[in-house]
Amino acid sequence: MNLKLRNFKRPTQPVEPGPRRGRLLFLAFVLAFGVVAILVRAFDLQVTRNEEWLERGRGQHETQVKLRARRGDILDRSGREMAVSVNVPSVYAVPREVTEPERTTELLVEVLGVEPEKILTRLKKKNEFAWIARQVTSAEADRVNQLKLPGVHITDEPRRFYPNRTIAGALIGFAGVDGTGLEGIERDYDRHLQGKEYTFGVMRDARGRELLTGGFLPEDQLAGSSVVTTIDLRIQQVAEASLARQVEEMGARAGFVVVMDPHNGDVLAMAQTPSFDPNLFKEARADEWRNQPVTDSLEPGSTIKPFLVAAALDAGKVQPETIFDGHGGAMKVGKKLVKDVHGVASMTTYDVVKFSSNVGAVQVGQRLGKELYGSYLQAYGFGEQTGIGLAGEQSGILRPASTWGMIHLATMSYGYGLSVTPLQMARALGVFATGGRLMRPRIVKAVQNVRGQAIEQFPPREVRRVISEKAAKQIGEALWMATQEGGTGGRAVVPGYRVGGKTGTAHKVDPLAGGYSKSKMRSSFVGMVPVDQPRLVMYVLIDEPSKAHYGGVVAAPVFRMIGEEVLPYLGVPATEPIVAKAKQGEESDVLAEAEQAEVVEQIAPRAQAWWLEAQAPDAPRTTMPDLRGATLGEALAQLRSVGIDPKIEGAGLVVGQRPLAGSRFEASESVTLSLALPGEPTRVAAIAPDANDSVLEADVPPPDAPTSVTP
Amino acid sequence: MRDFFFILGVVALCTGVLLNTVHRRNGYYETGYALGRARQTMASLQEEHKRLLVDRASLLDPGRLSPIARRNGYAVAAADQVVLIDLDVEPTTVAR
Repeated sequence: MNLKLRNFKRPTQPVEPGPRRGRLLFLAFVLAFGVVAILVRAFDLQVTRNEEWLERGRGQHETQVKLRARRGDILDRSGREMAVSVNVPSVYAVPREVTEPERTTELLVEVLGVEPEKILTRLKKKNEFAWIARQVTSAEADRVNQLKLPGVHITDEPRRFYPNRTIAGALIGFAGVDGTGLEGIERDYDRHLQGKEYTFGVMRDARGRELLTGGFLPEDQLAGSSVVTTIDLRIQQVAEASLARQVEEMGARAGFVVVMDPHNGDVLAMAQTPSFDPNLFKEARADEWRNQPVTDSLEPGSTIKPFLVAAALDAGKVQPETIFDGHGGAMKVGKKLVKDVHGVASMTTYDVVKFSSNVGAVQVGQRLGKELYGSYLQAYGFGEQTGIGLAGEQSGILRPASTWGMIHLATMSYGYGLSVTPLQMARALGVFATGGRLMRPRIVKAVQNVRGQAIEQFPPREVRRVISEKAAKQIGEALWMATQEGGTGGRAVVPGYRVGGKTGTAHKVDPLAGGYSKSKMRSSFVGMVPVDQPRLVMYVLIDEPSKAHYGGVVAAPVFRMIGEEVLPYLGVPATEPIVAKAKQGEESDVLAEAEQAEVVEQIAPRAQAWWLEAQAPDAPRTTMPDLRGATLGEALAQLRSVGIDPKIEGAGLVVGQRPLAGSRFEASESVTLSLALPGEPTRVAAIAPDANDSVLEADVPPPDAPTSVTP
Repeated sequence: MRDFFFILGVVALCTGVLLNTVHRRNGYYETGYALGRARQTMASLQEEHKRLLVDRASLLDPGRLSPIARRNGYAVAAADQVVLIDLDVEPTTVAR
């Protein structure tokens, strides 16, 4: 056969005739038919029913993977973690796969400590899915895995951790189990912190191996952004510790501190006592969740006086050397009698601040006039939100000056009849520290992506000029005098630094009896340090102290305690000879000694008892030390020094131990330590927050303001 | 004979193209597997990283370190121990 395939010209020689040609033609026909059939079928599969078969193929090999982006972190001003998300195991069941619900429930209850009735009901429903326990510890998940229960599985879920526990708890707030911010910065910046949910296709082969063909978006386009706050964790901790100590010493109900950098409005610390651990937020009361320095307003009492005097100086209504009549310590305004604790014959403008004279303040107020005073109070930012960007911020109460009567002007001159938040007070004092400029307070510096690059910044912002530089300098001098001999704020002096500040003691409103309570007070101190070039402004408030109530005795020491630790930490050099402040120094030593004793007292009994027994040569049995809160290294060092090699479960800090602390055991017995990251659930029954247990406070009109107010 | 080689050449070319396609397809899947494994490794490393961050942060918690430091005799620097170095002056003249 001579076939020419390259052209279709008739062959030059005739094809061989006969039966062989017929067979060839038949074969060609069969082949051609087969090819056509294949083509028809291929057309049918590839074109006509293409979508249907593609769909079937995808169903067999492709799955959709849903990525829930990680929630962003909350960081302090130096990048230290305040809130971080980590995946933790959760236990779920596919009830229709569970063969023995009763036995499975029994084992799960033993390992996880869950409620048996609830679990058994879920397992018996034969649904496709049921949660058994969410966000359990790694050790618990391992134990569940070891049980190999049919139909019981483990999955990972992101959980929020707050590694510094109670520090800045109310400010940070918390996120719920589904990763949504519910309180504090977690809620206010939820939009930034939440990442995007992203779904992408993944092929899986017959062995279930993942075959990534479509690619996926880089993490920085998915993950939530991190929020960089202006808080300094170290300053926050010092503020909280100092406040808690004073609240306890004074038998007070609560306390607040706001520490700010006056020049840029950065809030360096915002503390409140009592506080709560956001890791265990369900165990705290709902009213403890509130960030009270922002959400609660109160009457400022005498801490308003420097603002009054500065306004009068700025308006030229008084001069530093202006002399006021002391009226022997009592002055009549309308039908009301305004009194001073220690009456004087006469006083200068500065003395009004130094001695916290109500009689003098009323006269300064009268010279200034209600319209002018009202406009200055507004300019200081009272009666308006600060714009810090935290939800629930109160604006306080400042009624229009046109509605004030004579008595209102008088009571407002010594801090009654208006209400302010602790944040507003600290911010307003910043006006004196910055030479008369009001700054907008800042709690968040920037929002950054996972690579640490800033994607949004919140620069410091000056709101307005309130008073002149000259007036600011003059009031700084008056505030400094108030902390010197004869002044009310002597206990606020930080050795080595010039402190300026003002004390305040205000009667609380009694909403049940009506009017002001005679026994319930608020003691406060507002100050700046160093007074000549202020680095810090602080507002301290102690609520309902029972052992003393003067602001200078109750609140001023907190200012000193914080200043003593924070100023050297910030590298602010001393400007005053410390030997000259022997009294404060001695007092500080006594406090330090007391603190040292307290620490020793807390640690010594358990440590000493343990070591004494452990090192006794003839002790056949020994006492188990309390290792809770220790790191693995610390715990191992203690146990191994007496020849015990414990079994370790989990990772993090020690949260549990067997045998229990204090129990006696032989060294040959096995010791188990359970470790967990701070805040990992520990199966302690949660206390339901009591929504009704909120504090009742009211802002009150001025006419009933006490006529005798202590400095 | 010439036609035979021509057909052989065409068949060889087709086979080559097909083999190349299969090879590339295999390479594509291999890369897919590698990417899948890399994604899982990346996720687990990120997870470990986060876990370590929480560990580090809780160990550096000032509320935890402060009492330990005090117990071990460390104290906050006294105010007069903080000195601003004037760079225009010889260090020896400002050191206290």
